[in-house]
Amino acid sequence: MSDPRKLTYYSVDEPAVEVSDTDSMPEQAGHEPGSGQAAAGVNSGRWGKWLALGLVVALTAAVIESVLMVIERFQQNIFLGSLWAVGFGVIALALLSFMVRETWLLQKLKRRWKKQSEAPKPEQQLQLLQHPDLEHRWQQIKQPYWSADEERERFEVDVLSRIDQQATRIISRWAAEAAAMVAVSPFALLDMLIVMWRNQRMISRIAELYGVKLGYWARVRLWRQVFANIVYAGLSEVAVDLGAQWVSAELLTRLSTRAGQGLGAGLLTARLGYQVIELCRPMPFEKVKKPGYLKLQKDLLSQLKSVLPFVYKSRQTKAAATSEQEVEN
Amino acid sequence: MSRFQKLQHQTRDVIHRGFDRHIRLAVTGLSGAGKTALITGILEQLLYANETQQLPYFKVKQQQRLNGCRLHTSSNWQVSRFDYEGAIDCLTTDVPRWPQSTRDVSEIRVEIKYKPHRGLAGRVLDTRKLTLDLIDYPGEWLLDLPLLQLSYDEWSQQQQRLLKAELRHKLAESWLTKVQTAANAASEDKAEQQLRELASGYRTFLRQCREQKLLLLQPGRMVLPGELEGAPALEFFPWPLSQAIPDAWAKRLREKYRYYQQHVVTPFYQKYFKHFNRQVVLVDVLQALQNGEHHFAELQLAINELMKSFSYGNNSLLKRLMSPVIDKVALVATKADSIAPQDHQKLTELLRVMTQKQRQELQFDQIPHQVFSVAGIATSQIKKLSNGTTVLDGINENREFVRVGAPEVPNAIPTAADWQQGYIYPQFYPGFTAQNSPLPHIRLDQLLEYVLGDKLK
Repeated sequence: MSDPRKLTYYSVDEPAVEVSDTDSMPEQAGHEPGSGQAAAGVNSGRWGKWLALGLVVALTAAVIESVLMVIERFQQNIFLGSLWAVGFGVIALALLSFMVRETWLLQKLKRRWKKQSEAPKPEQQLQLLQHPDLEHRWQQIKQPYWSADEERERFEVDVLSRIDQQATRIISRWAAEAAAMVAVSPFALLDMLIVMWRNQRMISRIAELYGVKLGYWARVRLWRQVFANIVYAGLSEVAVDLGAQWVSAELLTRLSTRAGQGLGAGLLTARLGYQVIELCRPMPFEKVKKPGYLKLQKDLLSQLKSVLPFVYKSRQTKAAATSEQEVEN
Repeated sequence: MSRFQKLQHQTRDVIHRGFDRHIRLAVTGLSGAGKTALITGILEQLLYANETQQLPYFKVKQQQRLNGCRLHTSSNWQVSRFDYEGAIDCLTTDVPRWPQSTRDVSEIRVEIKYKPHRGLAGRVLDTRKLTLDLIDYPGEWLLDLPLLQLSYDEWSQQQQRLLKAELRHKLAESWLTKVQTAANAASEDKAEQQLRELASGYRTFLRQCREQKLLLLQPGRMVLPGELEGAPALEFFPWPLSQAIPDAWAKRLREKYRYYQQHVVTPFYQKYFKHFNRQVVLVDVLQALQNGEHHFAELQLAINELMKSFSYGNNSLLKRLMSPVIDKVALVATKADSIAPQDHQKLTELLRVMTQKQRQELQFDQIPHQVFSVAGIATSQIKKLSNGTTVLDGINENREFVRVGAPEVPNAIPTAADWQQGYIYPQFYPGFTAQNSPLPHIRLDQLLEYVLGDKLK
């Protein structure tokens, strides 16, 4: 009986690679301008076009002017002319390299956002993250029989969550600091400056953790995106988070004004931080729970307590008394 | 003294059951489904859990809460111990081979010690124990369980339907004519003798069926008698003809059948199967695909019959003590190491479709269940050729190292045209050495997490 079914045998000597090694694909440079998240595409409109045109014309004029000037100087004195030429050259070069770097970094950020929605493979994500230790860890746990979904799950839970943890730790520290600083700062303008400054630092740290280098424009873009998310998408979340914790715990009534301001600043900082995590993460949160506020609030309050002994109104007098005692001692 | 010890053991078991700290895992599967390999694999992974990176899905290990696992004497001292060491020896000797197919019941107990992190236990206790009982038995005997719910006549009718199928009919032809002629000459005084001969004829038929890899063979003790070899308890057979049973035979056949039910199957059920509270149903889908349409259909039927004979439900405290029921089921397609990893999903899907009816019933009873594709002991290595073909490296039956192109797995239940073409899957043999421990597996961690995870929190 002839059997149409047959297994295909291959020569054993033919070179074959372990499956786990073949998946690392080079990062592909597929990017579309103006892609990504909807809220990002703020329409600059008709005026923007005219403005850009004006700028380009002015810039060209300036370039021509300076070239003419340099030529003139050359005619006057060769030494002075070459000095001017070198000066302009250096400035032009610096500008050019700055622009190239900025566009490159901005594109990278945009590309990451685009990729985030495309279910990237763990190997691609590792390339973005640039953490050699995690790469090593991934090689250790990876099983060749996993399906793409299993791989993603394992990668998120076993590898990526470590970065998330670090990031959450940074956020809670930074938020606590911001809260404490705002709580002790004497006037409102300083509050704002402090929040801006702390948030700026925090965002850079988190982005760095996820392997995102921020240039000036990329930073602006990220901020814009963060705010857009908070305003458009996150508003209800904010309501839930803040509402649940502030109001329900009757915290608001019990907190002193200073502490309340501090807590507010801290929670806002944390919210910004969590947004940045979501934007910088190479994949969206799937199996890992999004970092939340529950523990954070406790941290913040304990931090505040150590800075301001009179956090709670009800204990205000008592606390004041004890602090006075301490001073006396 | 030893009696006291035994009592002590059994009391502890009852206490554990009451506190829900005792899992009796029913590894259910027809013969050749890979029960022994799966049990060996589970033991291997549990015992070496802290030494391996292979169990990322097993949360208690991943969260570093596992103190360790240890083999323990079972409280049922009449049952032989599952020969785990022997099985590992078999797999890792100089000439590694699969452990022999199971011929008798054996049991093994593992104690899992871990740090609880949830609930009251997490606050109060430092460590906690979970007892896991694994029972291995010949898959042939499993098919006796459905007999408990059938009367002789119902059973005969069922077998008559089966006998109409082409392959069975061909194999049974000579026996059927014998029954026909003997039935015409049935008489009271010769009945005993005639029935004995016909029963032995039926047994030969069952053995032929088994050689043809048919699955639904009842009664199971005729295929693999165990201690019942040659016993009169086996001198019966289902009535295969449409005509009525001769009066001289009817009483005797029914009596024997009832005896078999009450004195062979019931004790087996009571002793081993009644106290299960978790179940893993092993199905060798690939083998059935390779054997063809008829076998595939029969496999479906056999699983259906089998799952009817277990009781499912929710374990309340009282029920846990008195008569536990199965409260979680894992349906497992075995031997996932003979296909490419990207086909595992298809295999799972296929089993899902095959067990649709049973899953619906489980769903209706609100019994959690899930489908997996697993290899208790993975014997192949997945490689990729430079042109992108996935190949499996392994050892064939002649102990040669071979490289096989990963065979295809159908997306859905194959159509007639697909059956024409047929399917074939490589059979790999173990090629391990003692240094390989713990032996590789496929997706056992997910299975373990599913079956044990909720008790290890």
